Amino acid sequence: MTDSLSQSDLIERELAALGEEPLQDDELAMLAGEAQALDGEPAVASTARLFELAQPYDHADHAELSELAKQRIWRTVDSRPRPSGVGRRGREVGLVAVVLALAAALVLVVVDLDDERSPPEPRDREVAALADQTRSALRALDDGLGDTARAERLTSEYQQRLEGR
Amino acid sequence: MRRSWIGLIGLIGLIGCTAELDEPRASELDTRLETHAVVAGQPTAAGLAYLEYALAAHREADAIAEPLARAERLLAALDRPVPERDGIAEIAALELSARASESLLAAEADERVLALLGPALPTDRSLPIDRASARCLLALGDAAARTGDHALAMGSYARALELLSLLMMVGMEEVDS
Repeated sequence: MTDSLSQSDLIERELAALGEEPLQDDELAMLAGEAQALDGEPAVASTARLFELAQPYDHADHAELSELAKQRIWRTVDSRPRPSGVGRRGREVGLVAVVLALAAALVLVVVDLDDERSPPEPRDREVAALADQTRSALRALDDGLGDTARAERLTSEYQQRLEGR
Repeated sequence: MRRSWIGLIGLIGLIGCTAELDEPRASELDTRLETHAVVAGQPTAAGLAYLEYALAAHREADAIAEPLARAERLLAALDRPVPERDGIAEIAALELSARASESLLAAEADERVLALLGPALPTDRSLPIDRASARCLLALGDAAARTGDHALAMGSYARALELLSLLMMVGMEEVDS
């Protein structure tokens, strides 16, 4: 029982973080009667199912979900953008995203240079695209410090090393 | 973590593909990049003095709203010789160059950026794997693009991206460890 309630709380928090408004009783009733009609709306169907799962005792007919169904629901939630506090895993995924962006930019350069039909000089559009990629990658690696704050940190750390601290 | 390694492997492959760009082409597009890891080395009094000098320049520059005047203050700091074999001082100098260049770009003094960074960032000069190097390359690329030197712009951006990818790998190793 404790596990079930805890899971419900988790789902409710997850939905709140996603900005989803809780469904009203009449909406839940409507969805229960029209579950098949949501087959073409997977986002709506999965959200409705999450609310059902979060309120198993109010809707006994829909309380039991297979492990597979629960896994699918969590996968759906997990794949959505998180509003904040992504933590270490989020940072890793972010790094991979930036790596892929860099790779795409490098492909742009390679493809452009290998294309014999291209004029010898890069074109404005290609230069601008590569500039944008570079700026994005640089922003992704921003440490959040201004120039002066970064210089202060460098100086402070250097001084500590010099003094053997 | 598996996804991180997949990304890394793909990137390494792509960097391998760029190896054929090691020689400049007829278009004079040159994307060669020489890099070295930032080695802090043994701290010295001279190194600390340089860092304090650079820090003072940044603080004074903060108080200057006009981009060209701000750039001049930062450029004046660059006249001081950088202590040799001091990786941290080298980064501090690059930070000064980057900020000075960005201020010059803001003042539309594009030719001065080319004059500052062109000789400082030749393709055969090894650059420290640090964000400051990429900032300088980006500023050089922007100045080149504005002045119509698309080959230099493209080469500078490509070098910046490759350097950032190396920096990314260092970051990933730190996350893993």
